[in-house]
Amino acid sequence: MNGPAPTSDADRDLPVIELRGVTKSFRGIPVLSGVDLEVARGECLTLIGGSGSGKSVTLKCILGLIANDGGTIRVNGNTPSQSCIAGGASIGMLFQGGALFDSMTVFQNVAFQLLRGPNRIPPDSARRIAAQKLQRVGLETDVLDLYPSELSGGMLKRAGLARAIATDPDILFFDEPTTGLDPIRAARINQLIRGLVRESGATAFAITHDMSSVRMFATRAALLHGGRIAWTGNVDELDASENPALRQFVEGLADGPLT
Amino acid sequence: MNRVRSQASADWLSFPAAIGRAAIRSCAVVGSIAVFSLHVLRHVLSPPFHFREFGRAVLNIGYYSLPIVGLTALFAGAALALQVQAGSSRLSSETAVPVIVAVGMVRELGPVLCGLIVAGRVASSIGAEIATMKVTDQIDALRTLATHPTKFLFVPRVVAATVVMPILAGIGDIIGILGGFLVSTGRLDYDPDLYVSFTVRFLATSDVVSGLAKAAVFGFIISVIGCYFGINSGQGAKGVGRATTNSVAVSSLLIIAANYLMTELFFQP
Repeated sequence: MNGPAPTSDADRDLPVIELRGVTKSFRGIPVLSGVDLEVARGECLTLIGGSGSGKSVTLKCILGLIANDGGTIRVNGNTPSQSCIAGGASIGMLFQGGALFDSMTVFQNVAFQLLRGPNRIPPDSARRIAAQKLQRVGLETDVLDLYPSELSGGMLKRAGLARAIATDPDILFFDEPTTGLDPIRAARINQLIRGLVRESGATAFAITHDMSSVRMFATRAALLHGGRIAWTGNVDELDASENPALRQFVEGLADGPLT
Repeated sequence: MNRVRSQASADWLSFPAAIGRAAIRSCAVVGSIAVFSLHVLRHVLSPPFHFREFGRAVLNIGYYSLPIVGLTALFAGAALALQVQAGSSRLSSETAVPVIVAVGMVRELGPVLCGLIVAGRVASSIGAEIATMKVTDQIDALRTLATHPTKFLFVPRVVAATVVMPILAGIGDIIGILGGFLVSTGRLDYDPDLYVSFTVRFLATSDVVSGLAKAAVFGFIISVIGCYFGINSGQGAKGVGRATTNSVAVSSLLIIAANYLMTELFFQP
């Protein structure tokens, strides 16, 4: 863990991820119109919403991959920027397509951070840790020397997950973790994420439009609609809510406020 | 009537207006490339240094370009010898072929041909690779892994191309002169010893240095342009394709323009 750890009880009570009035437009078209959101330490929040609702933009703003136009974002109390991803916190990120580096083997991908930077370790140790992480996500160690182009979609996700947890990060981010997978593989990935988040105690933030993912691993959910958070609550409150946008999304109805 | 006249005036103005817009866009791209170059140069001397990436770039840009650069230089040198012989026979000058082949290869043909060939092979490859990485979130992944894309992707490629291109051009020069030698001695009945002697005697150090300096600048141009169009590519296969095409077209154009400017600089009459 190389991210800034909480130093006092007061720090421990602060939200790990905090968004206040975040706005973002592209070519004058507003995507986020004042997003307010908090993720507490150890919590797993899932941001749900229809396609094009701004979930990915919110995630990229939190990570500092794109700059928000207005409002404030704090990750571990720091402002993320393009030069200081997620405010310098120790993070792991699973991208939608895995985003493994084509020119590197699975080992080089998983051990990327272990082999570089101020906390780098010898290649032998990095290989051992990479093998452990691959086994943890259900992959055999014989994939270590394969290239990403030799893996299936599900294996790419798992290898991406192994890379995300390689340094035991404080915060885990998931971008549509089950997109493009069949229901069985999607369920396995969901189970895996639930297990990883629970055993590591890390704070997790996921974006998805897959309700089975939300029910499987999230502790809290937030619905993004019209550039704002339209509903937020615990996962067990999803079915009881009368919010029309949430009802439409959860039940997958064609008619309703979500377009 | 007024409406018809204003319509005709608008039609008449649409062509120069389009040219104006294209010129403004070109100026914006040139400015943007200049800013990007400075951004890359700013990161060259500051750690961390990614030596493995640098080694891979040297291998890709230098080693794998050698066969095509060598073959091109060989045929260019041979053709140049035949052309010079055809022209100089009218002046009955014996020294023309070895001198013009050597000077022409070292000053001009070697670096320019090498630059254009490497632009076709390497600028396209850098542009496509970085554009694909961008489209598939690999650039964002680098940043979430606390790695600066400029330091990891751009600096190793730019430094490798700038260092390797003079070596490639030097090898191309030698092979080109060899091509001229083979044709001259085999087909044009030149005495081998005399040919070598004229080549060595009339080839100045400044010719060699200026050619290699040109090659280094071409290497910088090729790599910076490949990286620039790669990282600024649009989304999807179309974006990757456009990045690849633009990398080759713009780097080739800039090589020709830079060659003229450096020739003016090095060889003032």
